[in-house]
Amino acid sequence: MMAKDLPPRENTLFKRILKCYENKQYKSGLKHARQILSNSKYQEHGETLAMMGLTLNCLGRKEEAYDNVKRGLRNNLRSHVCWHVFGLLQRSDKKYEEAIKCYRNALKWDKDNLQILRDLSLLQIQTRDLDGYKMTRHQLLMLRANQRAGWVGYAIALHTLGEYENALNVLQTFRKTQEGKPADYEFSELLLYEASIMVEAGKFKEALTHIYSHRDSILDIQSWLEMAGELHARLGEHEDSAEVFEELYQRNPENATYIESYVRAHGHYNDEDSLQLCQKLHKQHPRAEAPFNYALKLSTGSTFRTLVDGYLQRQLRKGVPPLFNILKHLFQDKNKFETIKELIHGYYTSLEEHKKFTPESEDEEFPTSYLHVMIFLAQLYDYERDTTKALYYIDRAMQHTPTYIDPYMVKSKIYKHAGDMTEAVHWVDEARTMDLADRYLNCKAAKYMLRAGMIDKAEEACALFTREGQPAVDNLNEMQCMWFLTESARIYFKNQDWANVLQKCHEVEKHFVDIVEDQFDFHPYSMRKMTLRAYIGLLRLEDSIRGHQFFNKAADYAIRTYLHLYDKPMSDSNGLGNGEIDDMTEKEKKKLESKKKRAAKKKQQQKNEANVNSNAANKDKKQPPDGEVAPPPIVGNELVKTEAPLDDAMKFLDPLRALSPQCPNTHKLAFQVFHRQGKLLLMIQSVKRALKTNARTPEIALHMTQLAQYVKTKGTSSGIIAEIVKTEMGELLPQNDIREWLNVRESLTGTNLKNFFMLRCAHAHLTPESTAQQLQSVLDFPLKGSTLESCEYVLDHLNSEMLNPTPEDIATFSSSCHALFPLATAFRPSKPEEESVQR
Amino acid sequence: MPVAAPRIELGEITPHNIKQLKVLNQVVFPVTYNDKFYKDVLDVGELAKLAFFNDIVVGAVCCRTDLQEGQRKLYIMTLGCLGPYRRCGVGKKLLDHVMKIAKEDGQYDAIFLHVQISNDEALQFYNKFDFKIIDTKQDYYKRIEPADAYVLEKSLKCGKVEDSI
Ligand SMILES: CC(C)(COP(=O)(O)OP(=O)(O)OC[C@H]1O[C@@H](n2cnc3c(N)ncnc32)[C@H](O)[C@@H]1OP(=O)(O)O)[C@@H](O)C(=O)NCCC(=O)NCCS
Repeated sequence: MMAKDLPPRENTLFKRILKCYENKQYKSGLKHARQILSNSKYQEHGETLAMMGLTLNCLGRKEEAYDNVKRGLRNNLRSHVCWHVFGLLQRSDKKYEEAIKCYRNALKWDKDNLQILRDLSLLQIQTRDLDGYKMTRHQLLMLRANQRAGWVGYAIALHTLGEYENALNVLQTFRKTQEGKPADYEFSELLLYEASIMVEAGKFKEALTHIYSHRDSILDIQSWLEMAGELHARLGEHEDSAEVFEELYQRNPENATYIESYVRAHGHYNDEDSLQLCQKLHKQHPRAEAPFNYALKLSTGSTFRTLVDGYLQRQLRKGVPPLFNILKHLFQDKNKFETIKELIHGYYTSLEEHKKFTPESEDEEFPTSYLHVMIFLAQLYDYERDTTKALYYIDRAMQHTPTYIDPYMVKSKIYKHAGDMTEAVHWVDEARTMDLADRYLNCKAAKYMLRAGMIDKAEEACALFTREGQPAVDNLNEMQCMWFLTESARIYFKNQDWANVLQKCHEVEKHFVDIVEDQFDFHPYSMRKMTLRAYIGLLRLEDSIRGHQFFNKAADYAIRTYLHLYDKPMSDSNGLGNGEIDDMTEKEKKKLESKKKRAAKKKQQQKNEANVNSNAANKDKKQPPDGEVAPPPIVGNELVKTEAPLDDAMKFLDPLRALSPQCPNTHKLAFQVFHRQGKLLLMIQSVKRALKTNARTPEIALHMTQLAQYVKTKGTSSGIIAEIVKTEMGELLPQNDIREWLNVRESLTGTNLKNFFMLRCAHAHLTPESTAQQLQSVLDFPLKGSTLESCEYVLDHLNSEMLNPTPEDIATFSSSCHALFPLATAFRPSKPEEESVQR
Repeated sequence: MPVAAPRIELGEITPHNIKQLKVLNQVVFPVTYNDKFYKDVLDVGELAKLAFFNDIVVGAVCCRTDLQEGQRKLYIMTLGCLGPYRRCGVGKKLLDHVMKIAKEDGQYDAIFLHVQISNDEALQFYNKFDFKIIDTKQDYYKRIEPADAYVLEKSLKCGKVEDSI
């Protein structure tokens, strides 16, 4: 940057401002700026004002910063410096679109300014303005054809746009200029990047030739081998592929993919042959687990039995705690499950009598083998949801070695599966207190406590591992501890504490915003370090980051909360819908109020204490150098007052629809939002997608019915939309007979409790007079064989007034469930509160 | 014969894992120890140890220094091992540790402890390590039967005398 309109003395000062800015010496920078401005001739000097503003911004004086920058700009609208600075200022506030406009204005006055072009390109890739990015990168290349970054940047731009051919041409042209130079890591990365583009473009033959002809220059041998093995396989060159994967296996015998690829490379063999290959690999590395695990997967019958027998004995002797989880994938095969169960039972009896795995075994075992066998047995029965037997064996294990923590965890899990979270918390907390230094136990315990609704207790437990002098919840949020947030949202949702649900969900959302923000620094970094394959991977990951289950969970609770807020708008800010307050007696209301006040007071007290501590801590900390101002906190009580809950829901729904179309839940939620918005085409789309992802999703019955009714009563009668609706509905409901459609659906899915229930709801929607009759058939449904989860599902829906049940109806259903799941708290007639006191 | 020698290691007792000691003592000893016992244990350093069998806590020892009649003795308050893990060398490992401490300290006259008179297992065990019955305390225990206890002791004096020569 250069100020053209200043005399030498001031110009020198101006250059110093720039230097100070680069070196983060903001105070001195300000001094120099004031020196220029104190000269009456230059007190309105635009570029100086702008730089002063930028410097102030770095000192956290945001308002003054904007004032100065804007004033500077007004005084010199033709200065690229002023525009650039304004752009940088906006960028620092994450206003990317505005910043881009400013950079563009700056370029109007200095079209080849490299720094501005680079800054612009960063924002363009950050905001995924890929076309703009391509143009800027092209210009940068033209300006600096002798720099590697220019070529590579342009190639990346083309690659992200899917212009593979062009991207490869650019890289190859650049590579020609590099010939004769010694091969370094960066050049090697460049070659591999080139190969990865070829693979993506489907040019397997070319890619293979490419990596073979540059074999000596490629230093990342593992990547080279993986690529070669994969490419040979794709080209049907199985022998070569096998050879490469065998080499990879020798480098790392614990990589399951290598083993599978190696076996697959031998063509369409049957499991018998594959097994032999697997065993051959195993012989080469007898201590490796991966080939053995794969062999367990492939083998059947007596071969499986022999293999797994040896395997189990070895692992149980060693006491590998996750053994059960390692083997779990085998259990889908009923025969394998039974074989394992039979073997373990055999060990159990034999160890009890002879201290040996089998009476014929030579070796006597340590007591720990017996212990691990009992735990494993408990897990097997828990897997089958045979709670009684599971508890029997786990209690035996605990009697045997009451100091061993694992059985406490297993016992906790058994209770969780049986639906008794209170008891589950008790046992996981026993485990936690036996080793307070164990972070895993702590997290598990906190998670279970949240599930059981013990929010305070969970926070207390977490506080052992969070920073001192700060409330645990704040620290967990700061650390982006997502599971804690989503689990909290879950329990607040259950308690119908809408403000807090939204608070937690928006906190999760904010973390995703931050994760996407954080990629900013990687654009220049990756280009410099030439880690291009990883960089492309990062860009793609960020593009789909909201497809992560944490976002999905938060979105689910948030959207359902907004739906609720739409259906039952809030009257005041106390977090309860009208209906419930009205239903309360005066006394109950008073009780609730005072309870709330007490809780609020306690919270405030804790906050105050923590603040005192953290203030003390803050004093020691220096002001962050770039003066970032903390973002405004998310306040659930404000969010819940929304006037447009459905619009707010879109913030969560849009990413789900874009990034998690494979989840049935996405389309379930989408339908409910669009139905309320009266967006007919989108309703149709949601039902169609729901059917495609999983046609057995129970809610489809109701949604299809609602859709059909909607078309019948409110559908558009003419115009292009009506045409489309007609065609689409013709595909969805060929006979245009929803009753018939429901009947067919019933014959396909009606034996499943959840589906049966939703079918009843659909009929009730269709014929409201039949509601009582529908409800009765739900109450008459034979529950045996239903899962705990589906019983809870129906109970939840009944509780939220689906099918208009009376309290007696709900009690009837609940007691049938209780008979089936005697331990589950959800169906217990007594109040759960009393029980938690007992504990 | 077992497959291979088990791994028996001693480890520290900390505020984080002290509950394991409580659980252990609860099942190994008929006597219940109070909170003060566990508080003190945290301050005696090497005089209290957990024993791990293949990484699982299965035994522990807790001692304190006892000053009486001008004598300085090491008193074993508890030394025990979970039932299923007995006769694997855990008790020996713990007792060896105690004897090593006493030896290194050099100032102890003896190591002693109380054993319920019916506890053959413990008597055999200590006998093996040259502890002698030197006294019988009538009605030593308040809540268990039989209430009498032997006092077992292993003198360290001769070693000390030799050392000082
Ligand atoms: C006493 C006790 C600590 C011994 O622990 P242990 O781990 O089984 O002892 P070890 O395996 O180290 O045994 C060492 C030696 O002591 C002897 N011994 C131990 N228990 C014995 C028994 N029940 N019968 C005969 N000899 C025995 C043996 O010579 C043994 O060596 P060996 O196994 O090679 O033959 C254990 O039995 C126990 O915890 N008992 C209950 C608690 C108690 O009473 N403590 C004493 C009061 S503080």
